[in-house]
Amino acid sequence: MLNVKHLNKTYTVGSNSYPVLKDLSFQVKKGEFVAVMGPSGSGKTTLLNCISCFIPHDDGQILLNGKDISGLPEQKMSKIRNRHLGFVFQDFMLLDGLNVFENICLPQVIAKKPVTQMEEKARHLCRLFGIEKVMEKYPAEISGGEKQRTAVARALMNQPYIILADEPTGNLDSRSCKAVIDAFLRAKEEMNATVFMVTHDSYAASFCDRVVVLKDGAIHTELSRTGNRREFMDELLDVLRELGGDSDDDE
Amino acid sequence: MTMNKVFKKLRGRNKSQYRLLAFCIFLSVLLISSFSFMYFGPTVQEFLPEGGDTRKLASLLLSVTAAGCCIFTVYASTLFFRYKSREYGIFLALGEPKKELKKVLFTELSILCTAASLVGILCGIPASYLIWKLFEAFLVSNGDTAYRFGFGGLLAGILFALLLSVFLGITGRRFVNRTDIMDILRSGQKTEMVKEIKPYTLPAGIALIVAGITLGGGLSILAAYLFRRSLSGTNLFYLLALLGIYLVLLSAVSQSRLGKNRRKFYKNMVSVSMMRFSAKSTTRNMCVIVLMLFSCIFSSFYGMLYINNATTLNRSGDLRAFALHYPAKEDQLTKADIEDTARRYSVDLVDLKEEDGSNLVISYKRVDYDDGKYIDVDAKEAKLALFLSCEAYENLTGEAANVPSGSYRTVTPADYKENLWDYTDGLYAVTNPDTGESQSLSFDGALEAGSIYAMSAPYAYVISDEDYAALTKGLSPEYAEHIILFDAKDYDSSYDFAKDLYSQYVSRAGESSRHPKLYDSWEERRLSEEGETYGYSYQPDLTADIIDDWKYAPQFTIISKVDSMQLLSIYVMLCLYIFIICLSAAAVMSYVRSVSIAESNKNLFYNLERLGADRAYRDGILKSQLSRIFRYPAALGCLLGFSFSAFMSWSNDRRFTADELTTLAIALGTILLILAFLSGVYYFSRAAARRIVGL
Ligand SMILES: Nc1ncnc2c1ncn2[C@@H]1O[C@H](COP(=O)(O)OP(=O)(O)O)[C@@H](O)[C@H]1O
Ligand SMILES: [Mg+2]
Repeated sequence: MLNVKHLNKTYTVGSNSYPVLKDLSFQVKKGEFVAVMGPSGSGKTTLLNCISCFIPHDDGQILLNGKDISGLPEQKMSKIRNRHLGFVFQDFMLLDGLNVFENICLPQVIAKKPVTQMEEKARHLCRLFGIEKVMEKYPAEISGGEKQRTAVARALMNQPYIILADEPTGNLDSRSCKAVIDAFLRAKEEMNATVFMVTHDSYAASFCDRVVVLKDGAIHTELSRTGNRREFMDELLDVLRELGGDSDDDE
Repeated sequence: MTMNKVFKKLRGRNKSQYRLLAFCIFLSVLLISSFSFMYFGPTVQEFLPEGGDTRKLASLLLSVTAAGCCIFTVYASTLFFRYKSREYGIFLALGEPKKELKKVLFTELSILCTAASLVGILCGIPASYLIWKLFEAFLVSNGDTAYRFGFGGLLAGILFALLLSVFLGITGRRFVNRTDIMDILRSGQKTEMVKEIKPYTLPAGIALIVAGITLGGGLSILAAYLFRRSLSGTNLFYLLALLGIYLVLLSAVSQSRLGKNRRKFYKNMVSVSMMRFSAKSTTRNMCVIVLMLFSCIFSSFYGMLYINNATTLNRSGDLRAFALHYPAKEDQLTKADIEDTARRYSVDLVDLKEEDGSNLVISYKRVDYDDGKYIDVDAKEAKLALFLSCEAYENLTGEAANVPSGSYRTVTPADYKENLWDYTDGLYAVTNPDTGESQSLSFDGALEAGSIYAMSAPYAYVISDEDYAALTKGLSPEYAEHIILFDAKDYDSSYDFAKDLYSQYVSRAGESSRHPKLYDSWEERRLSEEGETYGYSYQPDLTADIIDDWKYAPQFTIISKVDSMQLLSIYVMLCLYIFIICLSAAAVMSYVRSVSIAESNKNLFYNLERLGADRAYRDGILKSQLSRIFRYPAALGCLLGFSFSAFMSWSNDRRFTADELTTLAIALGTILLILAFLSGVYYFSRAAARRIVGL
């Protein structure tokens, strides 16, 4: 589904250049739930922004469903973001003036899809993620977990190839965090969604099928889950401890 | 690193926040002070009649403008405080005492106010001078109306600046006094609750507008028409209409209901959501813009009416350029004196004619106003009026009169419409005041000669030569009047000649002609016989520049034309000035509002981009919201301004004169210009808004 080949990214500030991503290659298969972990400053957000083409990369290829999406003209890129990518952000990024239901409809409103199916689908997603009670409320009136589940529902609205999530649980307490992870798992099970999630949180990452660990812009290790969640989490914690960095692996 | 350095650095990095507020203060003070420099200047103050309509109009519009300027500046300041709130919230959270922050904020505010106001007032001086020059070049023909600087204007400018600073201070205090740190921290983001606009807003608004206009305008007309009574206080009903406008705009800006047309609902969903948090303040803002545009159109309409008045002075063909009448027994200007003076000024006289007429006592029907009602009165042997023989009239005017014996013809101006008080056919009998000889006469039509009409009240009359001879038999000379009429070949260059002749006439005026305009010797005699005092027995002051209140004032149209052109040019200038102020206020307010909408929705556009909304979609959303902010107030303001102008020109005499129709047509043209200007502002604002939201 997502295939990243030899990705390079260097930030240039004044006369200094900082290589952030170094010859990065990896794959995410359809229906897979993959997490990216790594110490702060290891280039996770940069990677995600390169994949969604919010920032240009220097070298390498990003193939989405077999097609290279780098360097596309703006109009086409907008279309791809709308139809084939779903986003979930740390700070929710819901529109404050729209209620939950309208926020979820938004991607299809932008795509000018027919109204009836859209409303049907939005209602279905609300039920799926347990937010039908707050459908008529505005973002200011609901909890962080509900906001993030709204964002997940919104990301799924156009049935994207992949959902890109940057620290979706970063601003949440542990119970809300679990609810959001559950939402991702449901999306995977019920809609066969592909999720690519950057996270700090080894508890959240332990629910994934696979975890890519970055260090200084390169892949340090890749871990696949084989046994149960508890064991996988211990395994992750070991790797991170070994990395040393300042990653705060609180549970 | 000291705290002062921190604040200094922040100021340096956030210059744009200060720029907007400073610009608004500057512009408000500039608008108000340039107006008051001119308005309170001696030139304008000396011309405007005390307590006259124009003064009232000007002060009304001045206060509307001041209020408008205050509102939009305070509005701009809330934007400024919104920027500041995040910064201050963080300082508070880090334990900086509120007192310190207050000090910093008020120091910044007062420096900003003082500097911007000072620049505003200073720029106001050349601004008012420049605009004055412009008008002078257009209209004022003689040097009497030089620009004179008014210190009253300076005072007004300073007072306004102070008032504005006080308002800003109050807004600032309210901002700092919000105790809750979280509250302040969050006010940068939007966590306030959404206030839904009720579905009955639109119909309620329309109903209120209709009710307000009908009650405000209709009631007084109805009362005057049905009961011949005037009502006061009905103007208050217009406030209802204002409230209605507010509601209509509110619903237009921010209402969207999931009604029948669901596609449309979703299409407008995002752009409507931009207003969820600021609908009420935006709408208040738009109402003020409506008022500004209304004043703008109304003042341009008034200005045009004044210009039209000036041109009509030129036109009326029944007015002779020079007309004199005086008691025949006085040693006044003769034909020879006039010709002499004309020769000195190389003025060629045309149709110089002189004749005698007589004042006789008339019995006639007229209207009186008593106890709030208009009533018909039979005025028997009530006053004197000027009578001419048929022959004298024909000689003076060169037009046939043809009056049969036993009847009379009434002299009126051209296109005369009867006023409320007098009937052209009201006269029914004439009496010789000395012999008491009386004769009934019947009405035989009107004759048009404005110059003669102006010599006698209610009218001058023409009777047959036989009747005239019979009625003036035995009449003492004090009732005889001498009349001289003539034109000048080159009318426009006869001003100096006219001035000279005027002063000769005044200096030769004797005792028997020194009476005020409404003086009537017959009335005086009758009242003194009854032992009552007569109100018009005083002597007019003949040394003044313009002698209005004088029974025998010469009618030299060239003098009154030049004088009234000056007066009118000042009226026109005043109106245009108000027009400019209102229009620029409307433009600034729309611009500020657009920019602040873009500022507060930056995040929304950022999110939309991430969600894959392409440039065209985002641009469409911005455009749809901004164009509402421009289109609705523009349409409403122009519509109201035009309707009110039309209503005014109809209701003064219950008809549209040709002049009024041309004026209305020009007003329509002005509206088109205003709309063109506003669309320019719209494109400018939209470009600024686009830059802010990254389009
Ligand atoms: N716009 C930028 N300009 C320069 N350097 C940047 C920029 N954005 C991020 N960086 C640098 O790139 C590195 C990786 O950043 P980021 O991808 O945000 O890390 P992470 O999300 O893993 O914490 C950091 O050292 C950061 O300082
Ligand atoms: Mg990051």
